[in-house]
Formats: sequence, C-alpha cells, structure tokens
Amino acid sequence: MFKKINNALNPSLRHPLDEQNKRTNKVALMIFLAIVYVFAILLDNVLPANGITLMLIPVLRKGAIYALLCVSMNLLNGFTGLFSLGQAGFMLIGGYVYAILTIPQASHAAVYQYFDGGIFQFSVTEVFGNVLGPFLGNVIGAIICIIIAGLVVAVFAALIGIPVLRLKSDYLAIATLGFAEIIRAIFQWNGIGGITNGSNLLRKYTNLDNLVWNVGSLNINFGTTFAFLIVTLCIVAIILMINSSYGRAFKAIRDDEISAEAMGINLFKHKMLSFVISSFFAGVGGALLAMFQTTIQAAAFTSAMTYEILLIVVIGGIGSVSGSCIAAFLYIACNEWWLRFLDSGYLGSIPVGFFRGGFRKVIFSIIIMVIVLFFSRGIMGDKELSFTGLLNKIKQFKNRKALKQAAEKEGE
Amino acid sequence: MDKDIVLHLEDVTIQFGGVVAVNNLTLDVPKGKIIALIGPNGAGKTTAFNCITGVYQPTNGLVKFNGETIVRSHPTGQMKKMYAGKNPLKYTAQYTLDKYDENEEKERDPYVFTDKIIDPDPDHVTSLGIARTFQNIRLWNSMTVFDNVLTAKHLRTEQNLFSATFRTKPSEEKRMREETLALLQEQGLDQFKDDLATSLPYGLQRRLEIARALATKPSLLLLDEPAAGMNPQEAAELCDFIRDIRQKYDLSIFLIEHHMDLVMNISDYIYVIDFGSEIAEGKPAEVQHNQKVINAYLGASDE
Repeated sequence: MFKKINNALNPSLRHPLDEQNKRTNKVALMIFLAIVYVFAILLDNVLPANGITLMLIPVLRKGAIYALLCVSMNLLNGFTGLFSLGQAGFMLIGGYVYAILTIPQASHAAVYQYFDGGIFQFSVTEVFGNVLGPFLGNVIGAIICIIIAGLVVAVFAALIGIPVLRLKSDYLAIATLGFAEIIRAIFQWNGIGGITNGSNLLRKYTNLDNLVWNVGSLNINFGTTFAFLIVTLCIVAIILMINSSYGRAFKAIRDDEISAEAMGINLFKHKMLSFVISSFFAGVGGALLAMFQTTIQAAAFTSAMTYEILLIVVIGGIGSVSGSCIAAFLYIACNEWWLRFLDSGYLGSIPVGFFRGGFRKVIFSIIIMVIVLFFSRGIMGDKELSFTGLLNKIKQFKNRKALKQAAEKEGE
Repeated sequence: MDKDIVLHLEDVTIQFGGVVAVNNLTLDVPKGKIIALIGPNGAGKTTAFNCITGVYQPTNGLVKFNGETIVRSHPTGQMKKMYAGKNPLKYTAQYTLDKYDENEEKERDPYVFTDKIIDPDPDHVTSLGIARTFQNIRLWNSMTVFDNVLTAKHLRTEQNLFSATFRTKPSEEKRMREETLALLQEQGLDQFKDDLATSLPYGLQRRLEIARALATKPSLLLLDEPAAGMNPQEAAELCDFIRDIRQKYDLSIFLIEHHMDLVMNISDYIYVIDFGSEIAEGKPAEVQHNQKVINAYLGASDE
C-alpha cells in the first residue's frame, strides 16, 4: 500500500525521462566517461607513483572488471529472474581460453614445464605482433582472444543450458553451481595438462601491463584504459539489449512466467538467450581478470568468487545496472584498499591488538548486514542512476529545506 | 466442417489422477460471436481454457483452431489405466468404425487412425492468434502500463536480437511504440501510461490485461472471468467494452463468467458445465430457464 502511495506522489515515476532529459543524460554520461578515460591515461603514465596512485590503479582495473561481471550476472539474476550461480565456472573458462591463446611461443617450455611445452604452439598476440608491431599486435590480439574466450564460454553455456534451464529457482542455482565446480575440477585435471597446464599456474600471457605504446622515447601505458574500454563497450551493449524488445521480454519472464508465456514469449528460447549472453560477458570478464592478475589458476575460481559477485549485485540492487557498477567499485575499493588497515595491526601508527589478519572481514560482514537490513533492495533498488535524476533529487532536497524553513517561519 | 467455426473442441477430457476435471466437452465458437462458458465453482471452466492455450495437455480429445488441429491427445501411460472418460480409443490408431467415410473422418480429424499427440507450448498457441486473460490478474508488476502492452508486442516483432540491441531497425521499434500508444488510447488507458501497472484501480487492471492480450494481435480472445470483483456499473461498462473490441478488432470471444447479468446480456450462445460435464447449452433465454442449470447453481433436492 505504501508503495502505491509513494508511486502516486513520486513525480519522477509519473513523468519518466522525456527526450530532452534523455539527451542531457547521454551527454552527461559521455562527459563523465571522457573524464574517466583521460584520468585513466594520466594515472597510468603521468601521475607520480605514490601510495595512492599505486593503490588506485589495481582498484580501478579490478573494479571495472568486476563491474562487468556483476552486470552480466545482474542480466541473468536481476533482469531475467534466473537464479544462476555458475559465474565462476564461466569466468574460469574465459580466463583460461584467453591465457592459452596468448602465451608467447618462447615461453611455452617454461609455462608448461611438466607437460612438454603444451599442445598449442602459437600465440595469437605474437601472430598479430609480427605483422602490426608489438603494441597493436598485443591490443588487437588481446581483443580477438577476449572475443574468442567469450564465444567459447557462450557455447559451453548453451550446452549446459539445455538440461539446466528447465529447472526453476533454487534448483537452477544448485545445478549451475555444480557445473561450475565440475568445470573447475576438469581444468585442474592433469589428463588435459597439455592444454590447461593441469593444476599449475598459467603465466607469461599478454596482460594489461603489456599494452604499452612506444613512441620514440615515450612509453604510454594503456592498461587501465584498455580494461575500461572493453568493460564500457560490454556494459553499453548489455544496457542497449535490456532496453530493447528482448530486454522487455526478459523482464516479463522475471515478473510472471505464466503470463509471459501466455503472451507468446517462448520461455526456453529467451531464458537460453539471456543465459548465453550473460555467460558470454562472464567469459569476457574472466579473460580481463586473467589479464589483470597476470597469472591464472583454476583453484582460485571457487564458488566463493560467485558469491562475491552475487553479493555485489545484491548490494548494488538486483535489476539495476548502475547499482551493480557503483557497488563493484565500492566493494573492490573497500576490500583491497580502504579496509586493509584493519588487517595491518595498526591504526595510523598506534598498534591496536584486535586489528589482525581477517578483522577486515568482520567489519565487512557488519557493513553488509547493515546494508541488507536498512537498504533491503540494495543501493539503487531497481532504478538507474542518471544525471537529471540526480539534479531532481537535489532540487527536491532544496525544496524540502525551503518548505521546512517556511513552515518554521509560519510557526513563529 | 463449417468454415465459420473458429474454435472447435471435441471430446476434450482432462483428468488429474482420479479426478475428472473436464469430461467429454464438445463445443464450437463461431466467427465473430461471443460464446460463454459458465458453471459453478470448480466445474472445470478454467481447466478447459488452460487446455486450449496449451498449459495443460488434455487426457483425451481434440482442439481445432481455424480448421487446424492445435491440440490432440489420447490416454497414455498411467492415464490409460485410470481413464474414466468416453471414447478412449477415438484418437488412437485402434479407432475403427463399422461404417465410416474415410474422407469425412479425415476432415473431422486429419490425424485420425494415428497415435499422434499434439501438445503445443502456450507461446505457440498465442502466436497462432489465441490470446487470453487470467482469472487472477497477471500483469507484469515492475513495468508501467505502456511497457506492459509494448512487451506483449514482442511476439509480433520483426527484430532479431542483433537488430533490436543495436537499433538497426529504428522504424520497427517506433512502429511498435506508436501501435501501443494507439491501443492504449482506444482503451482509454493513455492517461495512465506511465504509471506502474499495479497502481491502477482493479477495473482498469482488468482492462489493461485485455489491452495486453489485444497487443498480440489475436483473432480469438479468451476472457477468464473479466468481470470478477467488479461492481454492477463497472460490469455494465465492461459489457459495452467487450462488444466494442469485438467490432473493432474483428474478434471472436470465448469467455468464462460468473456474473449472470453480464453473461445473459452479452453472449450469443452459452455452454453450461458442472463437474466437468456439459449439462446444457443454448441461447441465453433458453439456458436461463433450464432446470438442470438452475439446479446446478442453486442446488437440487433429491426428490
């Protein structure tokens, strides 16, 4: 009932974005992205390497990658209403496909030391590097390998989806979780060590710090920019799809399967589409994560990784892309940077006894509990952040203040 | 077969274990007519609807839409042993008649003398041109009124995933939006188009559900208790509304209703079922005075 009243009173809901506002938002987003890209290039190259920038680079890179992973999970869990927990498995495949394709030929013997140098004896980035020079070769090779990684994951997802997508709610979660664990186990199996290097690390493949452009004596690092670029493109594609006819069909399935089916939306086809697309972007995210980490090992892709992403999605708001992005950056910043001091044993320079390894997780759990209790629908709920929306909020806040003051004056 | 028959049910029996929900129901919906299916609570009306739209597979029987068989079934498996309805062999290969005209039989049922089972998904039935509404309103709650109707247009869209995502056919999307707006205007819902569907009053939600069903471009509309929970005035308005849309969209309408005034007022022909079996049929005036119908509704004494 309260929701209804709220809805009737809330002007932003009664008058949704008109064309003018939409254009303003688009321009504002473009300007914001431009600032972000300029900042990313400056951060990688110009800004002095001190404590803050050294932390900011990995946090921004990982935050961007997690934003993509969370949005892809949100597409499935938040927009199609399929509760799937296979994310880590798909990321694992994506990361491995990318790494295997880009390990330089010369490094094969060192990487696959227990498996006679591995089966594949080529590197896509080297093939392109021979023609286009090392920088362009790395960039274009990496992009192609990322796309291949996404496609391989999409094919896997389609195969898994055939049996699994007939299940509903919790059962789907259990089945996909099981598949993710199976994938992890298979990738650690020595029997296919010639490809996956068994349970050992894959390393020396093209990573974000290899994307350096040498112009004369200048070395321009495009690592952060590259991660942001791929992530932006993917998220824009997802947003476009969510706002298209197919995205509306996904939402209809989420809201009410029975009436969606009765209105002619083929449930299996659309669930499969959503599952495959989400997995494609999970694969892309996995490949980017591999690029970020510089080494990749199947053992790290546990179900805890899926839960981490699910947690970010819930904090950001199920059904909100901007919520997922904001929460991803906040989560990574807290986890990797802002709350690290809790593990260090010191507050500033004062030693504090209970600030020891793992205390960060305690505080983190409390923060999450507070969020879940007081913002039960996440930071953004199922709304999207927009420039005009923010302006409206500020205006409303100001109006309320003015009204309050007027009321107080009248009271006097 | 009569060309003017849009929907034809034949020997439709639906059995859940030992319970016979619909027993040997045979009926016709002629083109452009409003046909009502009435009966006391639990008589099997909605079950019959669910069978037409592909939600349930009937245990036995046949449904034809525009002369094309869309549902066909015969008792198999567990149901074969438990089957309590009539004509258990009629839709199997064992079906024989002492004296039959093969062509006539083929016309009645093109798959006669075979074991073929046709069990469509609901979305397929809708794509053929049968749209329905629900007894308990099933709108998409998180969407606005406009989006509810627009989403139902997804079935008839010519965009594929790529062209929809990257907006390579903007004219198609524009056409969908214009059609949606026109539809909402016709139904008098355009002033609420940006409200959440759940924030509408009950009567308008019903109307929106009908508008959403119309968005799939049906030729037959199945209405499941469209007047449930309405006051007499709203029901009277609904009456005109249903006649209106039949005219405008060239529809045939098959409806379930408890609201007797409305049924008697609006229907061209009425079928009455009780405990799954048909007990009467006829023009409204005939049905009204049928003793069996009165008994079913008011309860009959044993004498």
